[in-house]
Amino acid sequence: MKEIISIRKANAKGHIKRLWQNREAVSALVERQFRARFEKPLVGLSWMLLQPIILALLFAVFFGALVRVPSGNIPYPAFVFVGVALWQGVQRALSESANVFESAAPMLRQTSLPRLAPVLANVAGASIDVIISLTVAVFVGLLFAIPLTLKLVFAPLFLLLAFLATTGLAAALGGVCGAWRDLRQTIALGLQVLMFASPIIYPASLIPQEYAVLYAINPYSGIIEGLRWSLLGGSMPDIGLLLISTGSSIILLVGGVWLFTKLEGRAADAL
Amino acid sequence: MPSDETVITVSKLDKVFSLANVGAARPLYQALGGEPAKQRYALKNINFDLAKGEALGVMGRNGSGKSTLLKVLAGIIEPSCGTAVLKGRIGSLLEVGSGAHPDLSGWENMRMAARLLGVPKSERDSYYEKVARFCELGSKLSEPTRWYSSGQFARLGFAMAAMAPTDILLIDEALAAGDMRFQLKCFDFFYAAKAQGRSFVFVSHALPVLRDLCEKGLVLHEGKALYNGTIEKAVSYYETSTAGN
Repeated sequence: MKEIISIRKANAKGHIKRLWQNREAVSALVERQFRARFEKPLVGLSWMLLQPIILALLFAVFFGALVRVPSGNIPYPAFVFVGVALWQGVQRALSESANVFESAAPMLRQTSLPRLAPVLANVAGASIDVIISLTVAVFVGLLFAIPLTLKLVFAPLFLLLAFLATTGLAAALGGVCGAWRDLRQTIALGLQVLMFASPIIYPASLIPQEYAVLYAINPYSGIIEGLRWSLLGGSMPDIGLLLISTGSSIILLVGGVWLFTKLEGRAADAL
Repeated sequence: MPSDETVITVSKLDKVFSLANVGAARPLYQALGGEPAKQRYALKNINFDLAKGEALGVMGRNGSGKSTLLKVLAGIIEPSCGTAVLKGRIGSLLEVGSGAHPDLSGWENMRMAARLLGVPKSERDSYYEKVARFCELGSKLSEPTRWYSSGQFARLGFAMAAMAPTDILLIDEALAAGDMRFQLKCFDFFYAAKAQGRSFVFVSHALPVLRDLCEKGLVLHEGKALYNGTIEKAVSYYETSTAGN
């Protein structure tokens, strides 16, 4: 084994190769995320569900019952639960990853693990939350007499897209906020903006036709609309717009990982 | 037992830190015509090599660049210029125990460490056994490490890092771990490991220890190597020169 230490150029390919070589370490980090949630299964699960349930309830009261946001044939509580379930996970993964050079610092100071590993573990951990909350969303749908259909088979596809887009965004934020730490203060605001730019509390059909393409560039717009369709039914999202969201998910993944490898050296100086 | 085989070759290594605040305002300020941030050389033109089984003692006052050198060798930070070639598995005892998880028990932390540090599957069982024997925590190992004293925590951390199969060990004042008896045990480990042909880069302020354990010495001062040669000469240089006083 020979390690050559020199100035590293931003080398996403080399980074991914090192991730693969260290796959056992990466899986250990992911497992740690699992354990942190299920060490005491009942306690962990109730904390995990409390947040989306309360939030969906609040939205159902304010936007569903009072403002009467249209949600097509789907009862608003079930409608909003799907969006909230995904968004909770995205939010958690992104805010944890923006902080990764601080929170994973002890580990990054001790091992020469690829620095993308803790970012991946954050996103993987948040995926558990999303899958569990979405299961609850399906139950909420059943409460309102919305049966599960075969469209369910498309759900993993949208979840995979969400995973790719979120990994890219998490890597980008991790690199940028690691290199310029004051930018972390903008994360909460940015997440709020992104939430309103995604069809979480309202359906994408409310967006005027001339902005539909622009709106679809936000990958979460296609992902959430698609998830909602596959779990609860309703009108199928436009294929063209879905393809735009798919494309931007992939661009986000590639661009985010590239940005991370470009900035990680600078961020590591403060370790 | 030093041999002819070189395991570390460091050439023309520089590390420059920018003294700007780590903020996004700086690139903006520079883009608008502001002066670039001041830079400081934490390491400047460092060269040395080390053979298999040899130990290098690094001395210097606080801020002379010792820890930066170890971090570069461990692959934690990247050099600004120059290269370091290390042959073999690298183990770093820079911040002992900091990777342990407080909610997991000692045993679980050990299993986690084995995977994080890349201990091969076939060597796992003997790794656990060696760690348990070395840290002497007994039944305490079944408790979450949250309930360990700081000394016990450090003992587990040291054992987890030290017992991993490595060819090159990078050590930074790790001997602050544990009580007197445990410190002596650490020394015994260093001697035994050295006898097995493992190489060391050892940063310490304890000159008698360096003199005893190392063959080579490197005196750092403000990032530059003031002396690089045998340990006896390096220690006496350090004791008499401005680098030490």
